[in-house]
Amino acid sequence: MTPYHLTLQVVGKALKDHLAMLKDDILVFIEYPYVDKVYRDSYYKYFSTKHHQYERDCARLTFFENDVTDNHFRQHNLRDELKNKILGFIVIRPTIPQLIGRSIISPKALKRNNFEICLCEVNVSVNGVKLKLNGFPHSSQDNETMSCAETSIWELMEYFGNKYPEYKPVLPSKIHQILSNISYERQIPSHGLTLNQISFALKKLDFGTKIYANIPKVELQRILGYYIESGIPVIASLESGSIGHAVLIIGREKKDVNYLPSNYKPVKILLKNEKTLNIIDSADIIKKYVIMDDNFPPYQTVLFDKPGEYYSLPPQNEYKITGITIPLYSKVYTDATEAKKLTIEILKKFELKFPSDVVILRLYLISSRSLKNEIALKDDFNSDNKELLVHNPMPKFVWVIEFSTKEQFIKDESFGLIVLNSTDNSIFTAINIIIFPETTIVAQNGELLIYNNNPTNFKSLKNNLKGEWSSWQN
Amino acid sequence: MAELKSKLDEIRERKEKTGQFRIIERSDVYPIYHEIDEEMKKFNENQRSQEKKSIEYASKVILKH
Repeated sequence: MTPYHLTLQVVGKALKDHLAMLKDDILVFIEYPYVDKVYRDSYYKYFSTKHHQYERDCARLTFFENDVTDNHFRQHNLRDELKNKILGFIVIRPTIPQLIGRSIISPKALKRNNFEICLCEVNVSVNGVKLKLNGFPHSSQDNETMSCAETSIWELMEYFGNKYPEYKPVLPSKIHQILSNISYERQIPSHGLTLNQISFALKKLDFGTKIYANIPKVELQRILGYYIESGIPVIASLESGSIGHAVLIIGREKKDVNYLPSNYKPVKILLKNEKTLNIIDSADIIKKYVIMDDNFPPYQTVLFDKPGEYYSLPPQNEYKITGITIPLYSKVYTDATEAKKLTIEILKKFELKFPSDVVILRLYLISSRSLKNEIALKDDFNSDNKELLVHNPMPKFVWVIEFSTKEQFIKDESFGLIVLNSTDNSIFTAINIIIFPETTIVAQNGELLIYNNNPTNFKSLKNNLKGEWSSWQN
Repeated sequence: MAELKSKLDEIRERKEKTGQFRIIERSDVYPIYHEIDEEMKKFNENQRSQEKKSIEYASKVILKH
C-alpha cells in the first residue's frame, strides 16, 4: 500500500498534457511492473528510507504508430518495420503528484514540431524487442530527490552520455555525491541549486563549463543563439521576483531574417577598401527556442523574452532568462564572444570581397569531423576549397562563421566561411582557413597562402541541429 | 599536414603562373596580427571582468521551482 493511491484519475491527470501534445493516431504499449533505473536510484537512496511504504516499481507507456500489431514483435520479417514505428516512452513513477519520470518522445510523434533541436539515440527494449529511439531526455521533478536543477543536470547527462563516448549518463545519487563536496547542509530533500552549483557539477562530469549571467539582455540572447546554433543544450536560469527555476534550452524554431528587433541596427564596420559593411548577426533574429521544463511536457517553444509563457499564472509566466551555463567540451578554450570579436577584426583587416554591403553572419561551434564530413559531401562547394578544408589539420572543435546575403539566408545558402581554431583565441594561431568569393586564405607557419578561386555559393551547414530534414534521426 | 601541403603545392603550380596565387610573408602578416592582438587584449580584459560578475551573480539565486 502506497501512502497515496495511484488511481486512474491521478495518473490520467498527470498524463493529460503529455498525451495532448501527441498526434491522435498513436498506439500505446503499457508495461507494469517496470524497473526504471532513475527512480530505483531515488527509491533506494531516499523513498525506501521513509516511514510510509513507497512502491519500487514503475509503469512504462511506449508509443508506436498505430498500425503496429502483435506480429511486429514476434515475426522476424516485420522487425525492420517496427524499428521505424517507435515514437517514444514515458515512465510513470509512484511519486504523487509528479508522476512523470524518465521519458523520451520523438518529435515525430508531436502534433507541432516546426523546430530543429539536439537529438540523441537511446536503446529501448519493449515487449522483448530491442529498438532505438531518437529524442531528447525529459523528466518531471519529484520535488524530493530531484528539483528542477538536478533534473536539468540529469537530462543533460542523459543526452551527452547517450550521444558521445566521452560522457556517461548519471543517476540522481551521483549528482548529489558530486555536489556533497561543496555542500554544508544535507542535500535531500532537495532545495534546489544555484547556477554555480550546476556548473560545478557539470565541470566534475568532464565539461569545460562557462557561465554567462548578469549581462545585458541583448548580449545574453546573442550568446544563447550561438550555442544553440552549435547544437549544445544549455541550462538556463529563469527568475521572476524571488523565485528561480532551471530549464534546458535544446533548439530553436526556423529563423526568419525579416523578424529582427524593431530598433535593430546592423553592426557597421569599415573595410580595408574603405567601404562600409553592415553585419546582421543571425543570433539576433527573433525566434522561439525549444525548452525542456520539468513542470511541463517536453519541447515547449518560447520567445527569449517570455520563457515562462506556457505557465498560466504569475509569477512563473513572468519569468526572465537571467543566466545560462554552457557544457562545453573541455578543450574548447575560445568562447563564442571571443570567436565573434576575432571574426570582426579579421573582416576589418583582411582584403575580402562581399557580394552585398549587408551580410548575415552565422557563428557556431562544430566538431571538425562533422565539418569535414559535411563539406566533403557537398556538390556545390568549390573543389579546391573542399580539398584544402578537408585536409586542413584542425582541433576536435572549430568555430565556423558563415556569411550570406539576405536572399541567400532565406534559401539556407552562404557565400563564404571562416574556420577558427577553438583552442586558441590569439590571432597568431586562430585561423584555419578563410573561404570567400574569389579569395581563399590558408594560414600556415605564420604565412598566409592566398589564391583566387571560382566563387561558388553553397548550402549552409546544418548538421548541428536535427529536424524534419534529418527525418528526426540523430 | 603533408596532405594539405601537397594540395597547396598542386594549386600553387596551377595558379602561380597566372598570378592567382600569392604568399603574404610573416613580416607582412605580423603587423596586421599585432593590431588585431591589441584589440583582442582590450576585449579579453573586459571579458574577464564580465566573467567575474557572471560568477558572482550565478551564486545568488537558488533554482528549485
